[in-house]
Amino acid sequence: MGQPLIRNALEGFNGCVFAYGQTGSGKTHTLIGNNDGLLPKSLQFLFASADSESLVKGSYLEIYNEHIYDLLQDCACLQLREDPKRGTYVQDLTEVPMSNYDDALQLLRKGHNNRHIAATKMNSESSRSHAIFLIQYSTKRQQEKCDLFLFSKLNFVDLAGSERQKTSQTEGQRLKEASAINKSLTSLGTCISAIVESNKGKSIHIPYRDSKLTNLLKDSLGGNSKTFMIAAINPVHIAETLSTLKFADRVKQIKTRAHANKEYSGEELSKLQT
Amino acid sequence: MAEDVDGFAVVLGLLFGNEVLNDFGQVLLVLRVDVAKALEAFHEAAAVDLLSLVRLEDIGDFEDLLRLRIEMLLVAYDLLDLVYDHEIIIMKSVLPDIRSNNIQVVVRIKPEQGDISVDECDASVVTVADRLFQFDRVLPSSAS
Repeated sequence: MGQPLIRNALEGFNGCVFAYGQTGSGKTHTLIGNNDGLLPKSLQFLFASADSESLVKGSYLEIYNEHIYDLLQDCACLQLREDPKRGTYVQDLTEVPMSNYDDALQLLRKGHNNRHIAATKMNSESSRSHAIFLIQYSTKRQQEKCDLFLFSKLNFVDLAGSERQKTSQTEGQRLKEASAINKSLTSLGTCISAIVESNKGKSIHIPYRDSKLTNLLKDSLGGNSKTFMIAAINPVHIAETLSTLKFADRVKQIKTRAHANKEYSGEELSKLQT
Repeated sequence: MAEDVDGFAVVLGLLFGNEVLNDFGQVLLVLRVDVAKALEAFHEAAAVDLLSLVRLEDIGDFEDLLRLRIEMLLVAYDLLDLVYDHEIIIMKSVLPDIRSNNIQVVVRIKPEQGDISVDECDASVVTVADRLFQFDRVLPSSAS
């Protein structure tokens, strides 16, 4: 999954991987692992494949209790902004240039250590926030007599696990977190259902603005992105597994509209413009 | 119509089914058909009326059509009298390009004991509590 994603990114396609599943089903393990998860492996492949003209930048954020925090820098919560060209983005989010795999791994480790994690009855290291590692890639190539600029964004999204209060037995702050998590996952489910209906030709409002998560993932879910979903399941919990698979079954119906992000400049372009 | 039935007879030959019991001990028939083989079979059976309706870039239409026509055939042959209910699984094994614009779903199973099995022949099918699901890829716990 990582290799096609990176190959697409090198050609200017945005990409997204999001891991979904109940708490304790192995989402963070699959994405990060002990530096052997999908994200570290994808970064390794990216730096092995990128050319010398490439610029790679990394950002890491989390959505905790419906507030966005920069995981690479201590600061107050950040705001979402919309721009016709950039789409939805996080204002003032730290973007760190990464020149090799070691830089990237260091960044990943730093951000991962800043995440909100707590022990619940269901999971001793339960992620209490949605975390997004964003890679921005750009490069310049010579094509005929033009300079071709390619840009892409890759989102690796580790969603917080859905949980039932009855089974996770959370209270106080943990319960407040669980409520925010479940609310944003419900928004995600509502958006997914609306996108599926919209893909079938129905005129329907897609409530992306209902949560920070759906607002940020807008492009990845129905727009300019080649997107993968990891549905993490734990065979011990059948009801939760069925719920995850039914959700995944809806997600697989969604069509996106990915296109290469490219711009030309140079002699040939000047001719075309005159 | 005769042409149609011949075409479906070929498709029916491509179906492979298994019976599963629901919570009340009633027999459910689960039929699976490979959509690419079905398309090929329709070509061979010259079922042009159906093919003319199919736009290959939108396989979803074909799946719905195929499901409907298989149900019609099951009714025509009184096959549904034998079971309480049925489910038709349309598989898309050799048409990966058609789903390349869709969100690709990979299922990863945590290595724990439980009532989940992955089809040994087709690494895109997972069965949970007698319910079959098909995704782009299923990673069984042994491969996790």
